[in-house]
Amino acid sequence: MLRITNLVTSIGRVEILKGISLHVGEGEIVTLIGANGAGKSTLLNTIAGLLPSREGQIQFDGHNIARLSPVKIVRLGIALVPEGRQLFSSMSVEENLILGAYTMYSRSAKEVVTEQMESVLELFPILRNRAHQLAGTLSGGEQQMLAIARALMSNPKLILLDEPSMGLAPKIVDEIFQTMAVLRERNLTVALIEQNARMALDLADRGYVIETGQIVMEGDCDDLKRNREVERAYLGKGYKEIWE
Amino acid sequence: MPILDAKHECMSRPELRQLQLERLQAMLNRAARNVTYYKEAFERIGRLPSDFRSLDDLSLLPPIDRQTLADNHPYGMFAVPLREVVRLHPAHSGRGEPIVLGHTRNDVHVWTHLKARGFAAAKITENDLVQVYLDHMLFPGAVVAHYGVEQLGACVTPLFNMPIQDQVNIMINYRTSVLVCAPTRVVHIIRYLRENQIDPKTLFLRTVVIVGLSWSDHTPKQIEEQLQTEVYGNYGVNEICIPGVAFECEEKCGLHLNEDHFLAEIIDPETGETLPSGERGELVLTTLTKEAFPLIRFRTGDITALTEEPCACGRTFLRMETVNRRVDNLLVVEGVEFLPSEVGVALKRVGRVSADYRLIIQREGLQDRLEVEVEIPPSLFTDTMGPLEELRERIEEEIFERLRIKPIIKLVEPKSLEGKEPVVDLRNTNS
Repeated sequence: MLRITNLVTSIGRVEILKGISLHVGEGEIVTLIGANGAGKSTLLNTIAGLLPSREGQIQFDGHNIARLSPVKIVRLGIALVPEGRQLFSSMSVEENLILGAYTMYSRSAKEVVTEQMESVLELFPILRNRAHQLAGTLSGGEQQMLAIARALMSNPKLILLDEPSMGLAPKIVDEIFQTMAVLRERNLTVALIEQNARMALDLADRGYVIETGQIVMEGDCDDLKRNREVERAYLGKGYKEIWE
Repeated sequence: MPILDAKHECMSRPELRQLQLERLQAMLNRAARNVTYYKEAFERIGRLPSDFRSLDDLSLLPPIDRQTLADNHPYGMFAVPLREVVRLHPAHSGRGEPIVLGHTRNDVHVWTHLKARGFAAAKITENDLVQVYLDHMLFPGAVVAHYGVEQLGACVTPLFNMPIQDQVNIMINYRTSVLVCAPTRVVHIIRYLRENQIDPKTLFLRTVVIVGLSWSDHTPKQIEEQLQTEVYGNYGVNEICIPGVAFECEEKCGLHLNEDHFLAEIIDPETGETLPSGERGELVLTTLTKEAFPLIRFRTGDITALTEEPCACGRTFLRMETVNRRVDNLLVVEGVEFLPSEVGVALKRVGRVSADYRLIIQREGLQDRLEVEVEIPPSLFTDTMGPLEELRERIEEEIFERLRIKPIIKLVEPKSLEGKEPVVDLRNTNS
């Protein structure tokens, strides 16, 4: 579905992504793990068209989307749930959701948007109760659900999730991951960046490890979990003091 | 159709190329960071791993060979700290210099899976009883072979170094349905059956998986005729994984190379230039997923040809011809790899004989025979045969100790080997 080859992205004069190649197959959940500053968010932002790529190809469903505007990319079926949620906090939950369907919105498509909202609210019933509440007044977990729900409003084929558990309590993180498991059941394709590498590797089918803008490991999540370097660097185990 | 991992084995070629590129780039990044030899190799050609944007760019790096591994012995080519290595296998460069091969948990896991793929292609199922008769000394993968069988849910009897009569007894009593074995050992079994007047029809054997570096084109057919079984080939390289690099499917039209884990090239052994698809040359392999011991453009020394023609079995992996020739003077006799000079080293240890010797390798039926002619000084020629017989036995023991092959020793007069070829391999001319 998504095939990236030799992607180079710079911010200013600094080359952040140094020739990344990866793919995400239809119906797959693929996770990207790496330290802060490795280039994970830059990668998702480049796929979504928010950052221009300098070199390389991004093929999505047969289209080269590397030079397309974010709106066109959303229309083709890619939605980004950005880091920090980026909600319209002074607008209601319902208004946020309607804005998520911005690319399909027209007078004639009103019914389609309503149907889509109904389908999304089935997935997040809590948001139905909060429909008229201002987004900024929601709890952290609810805000994250709203961010995912808003992305789903564009009826994407591929959803890009950037750190969905950031700043949330462990119980809420579990709920968010349960939601992602539901996305899999709905046959949605997901590219996931997640600070909680263990949960991400438990959920996803495959993963890539990014270090300083380069992919240094790729494989099924079970293989990555078995890798001692991944264990030590991202799963927080493997290091023992010499006297232990 | 017995395809264990259809997702990868039947992947479209463009998808496979993408996967290979991703894995190659990740491996190059790791190798350049963690292996001094590769880091210096990148520096020598003035490139960074990120400059490798296509599979063809790999040819920018010079190939390596067994000598490279011996020069960096023991851990110079390792890409992970030793604490991450769960298995070490000793090997040698062919010139007797030691090499050590390392594997992480994932390497062993992948290796097991690749074996299971090959076994599944040989139609081994959970209903089979598989007898693994491989020599630990020759096949680092002997242990992993039985994990491969278990992965398929079949029952395995790993009888690695048991004497042949016990192997055959177990084969009969346990009702073994599949034998995993080096071609030379199948020959021993056939001979044992004949000598002991055991009709192969009384066995329950239906499949033989022959494992090794090389075998002649007619070997599988002869085994099939004599044991009345199906025969499938499994090819491997000691330094990478043996077996596990390539396997035969039911179509029997070459060996499918596990391209999701290995990148294969064919080069001209003289010039080192990459040859187009279909041409015969030296097989060069790059490991795409090895963690502990990544090999970049490793010259196997094996002569073969590759084809991308689709196979009727549905697998999309390219197919390689059976290997029955090598580029160097490395000999493979009875499944054992060695350089002729190793015989010289053995003779030196014996002493009392001159440095001149000659190797003659022949094939009798399915079996290889190594004959060593050794010049002895005139002083040893006496009327009594005792000392000569003792010397002959001593040479035989020393060579067996070093190579694990039982040679036929002929003591010859001084200077009788002058002007003669030091190695005569009559196997290809006979076949």
